[in-house]
Amino acid sequence: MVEINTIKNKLKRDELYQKKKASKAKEKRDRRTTLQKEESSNPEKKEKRLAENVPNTLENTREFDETMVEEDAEVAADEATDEFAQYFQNGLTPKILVTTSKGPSAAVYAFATELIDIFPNSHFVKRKNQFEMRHIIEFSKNRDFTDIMVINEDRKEPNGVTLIHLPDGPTAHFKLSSIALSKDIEGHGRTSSHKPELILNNFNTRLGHTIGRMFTALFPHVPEFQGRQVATLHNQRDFIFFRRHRYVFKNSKRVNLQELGPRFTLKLKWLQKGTFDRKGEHEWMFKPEMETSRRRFFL
Amino acid sequence: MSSQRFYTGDEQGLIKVVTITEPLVVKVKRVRRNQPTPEAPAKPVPTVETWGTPDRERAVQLLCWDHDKKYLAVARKNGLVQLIDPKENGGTALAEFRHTLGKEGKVDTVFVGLFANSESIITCTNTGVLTVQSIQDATQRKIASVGQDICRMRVHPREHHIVATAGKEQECTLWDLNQIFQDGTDQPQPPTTNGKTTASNGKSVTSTPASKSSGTPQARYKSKEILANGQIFKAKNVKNDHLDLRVPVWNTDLQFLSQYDYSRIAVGTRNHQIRVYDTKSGARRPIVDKEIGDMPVVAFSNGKDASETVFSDTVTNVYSVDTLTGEVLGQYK
Repeated sequence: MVEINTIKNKLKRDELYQKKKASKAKEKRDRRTTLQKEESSNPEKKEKRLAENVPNTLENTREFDETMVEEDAEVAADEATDEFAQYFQNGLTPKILVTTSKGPSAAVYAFATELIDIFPNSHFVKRKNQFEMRHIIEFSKNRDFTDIMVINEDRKEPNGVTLIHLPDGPTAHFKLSSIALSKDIEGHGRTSSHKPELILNNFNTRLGHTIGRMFTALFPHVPEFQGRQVATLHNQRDFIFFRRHRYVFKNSKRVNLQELGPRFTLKLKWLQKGTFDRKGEHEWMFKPEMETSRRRFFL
Repeated sequence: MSSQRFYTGDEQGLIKVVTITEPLVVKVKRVRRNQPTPEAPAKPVPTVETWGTPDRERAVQLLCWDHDKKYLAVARKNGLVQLIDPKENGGTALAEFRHTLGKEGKVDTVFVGLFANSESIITCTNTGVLTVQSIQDATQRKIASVGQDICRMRVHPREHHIVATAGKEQECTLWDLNQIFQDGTDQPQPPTTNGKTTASNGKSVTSTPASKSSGTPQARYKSKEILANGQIFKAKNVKNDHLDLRVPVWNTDLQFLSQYDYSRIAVGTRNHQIRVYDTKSGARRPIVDKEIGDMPVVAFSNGKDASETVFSDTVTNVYSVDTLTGEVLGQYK
């Protein structure tokens, strides 16, 4: 058989190539139909094949991480007495302050409006030039706020969120991307003032636990199931996807979802132990040097 | 087969002993074509032993070896200072002393210095309370005040009566414990003038304390900053910067560079400056002053000898600095 790439005539080369392609496709088709016939009579064969042929993904070939938490009594003891103990043990209601960086633009205000809608018991305060972060933190503590969210912007678009837990809780800074406001989502639903349920996916390491608990502490302790609203924070490959849905059960097996509210993606940039301090020690900071392989994740 | 042992203390009050044993290195034979590749050498497996139960009140603030490297000294958040024998199981304390650490206004009092030798444990808090506690006799405790807002206190590894402190608006100061406690009083005496002589230009120059031998160059202290009782050396702020503004002082950590004498001290500041002082040369200003990195210095350690020091900053960078020139020898990012 002549190698196709040695034929100089374009028409002839094209013809032979199409023939080769067609024969390959036919082979695949025939193999699949025979397999289907065999497996329809013998379902065990199908199960065996599926069990053997698990494809490798970045998530299941993730690099070994010593900080993965699995049923650890020490971690449980640590989390029982950490900064979020007031929320988890005593059921403290969160009170959130949403503000922006100085001199924000319209897109930031629109995003801030969405954030106020997501978190019950949250208040927006316009940022003025008069006060710095450390003053804002002090004022919020005096007024019994439990969290501050600062929306950072660049080139007229929101690009970051700093989440500060009060009184001396951790501070986390996230990169914000892929924002879709409710009005831009097709077929979006209307939110109600019911307290949402919360789903947190895939926060497995110690760092992931801290961030997951930070997010949990933003929502009220007891959801109102009557509202059928759910907020999801799904972590995959260190990107945290936020979605909000209204769900309705058609029967015990099928659920229909309608998307509400904004969609956005967060990526953790750094985590500090106390409240925001530019010169304070960072518990974790993302640096490009940490990306040693495609299979290494931190959350 | 070498092994390393690390002792760590955490904010839950647990002390963990991590032993990492290097596995035997098997020399890999040359792989011929079509032969199966040899297995990768075994990775070192750490074993962790935990002492104590989780309790945030017993959070470990400082942990260090004593002078003979036989016992571990631990300073905890509730004021407890313990001496632990690492060979005994469970990390039970051989000796325990309780200090009071209250709150000064809004700031918690924390331990900033810890040192132990066979006779006593020396501790210092950030409010400047320096305590020398005798190990054998629990009642014998000597207390001195070494200033306000101290960020670090260190004791010289060989001369246990020489103590260095530094802090916020507190320049690097060397104290001699024998002098502080020699007349049996707890508080340092108020600064006394001894032999003022007027120099030719009219400024008054005070002579240095008698402890300095006449051979070494004399450091000059202005009348208002005469060395208080017990102080041997007090550094002077660097010259005003290019805008003729006073450079603010906030030393975050310091380290004695040489284990043989206390002449050279390296100091790190909140404005990421590294300074090296020579206490015996008569110069009160640093002999090396460099700005390294962008973020404040958090921790200092000795390098291979007096010419190298290692420090880390708040954003997980570790730098190795040459103390003679101030150049960065290497960096972990």
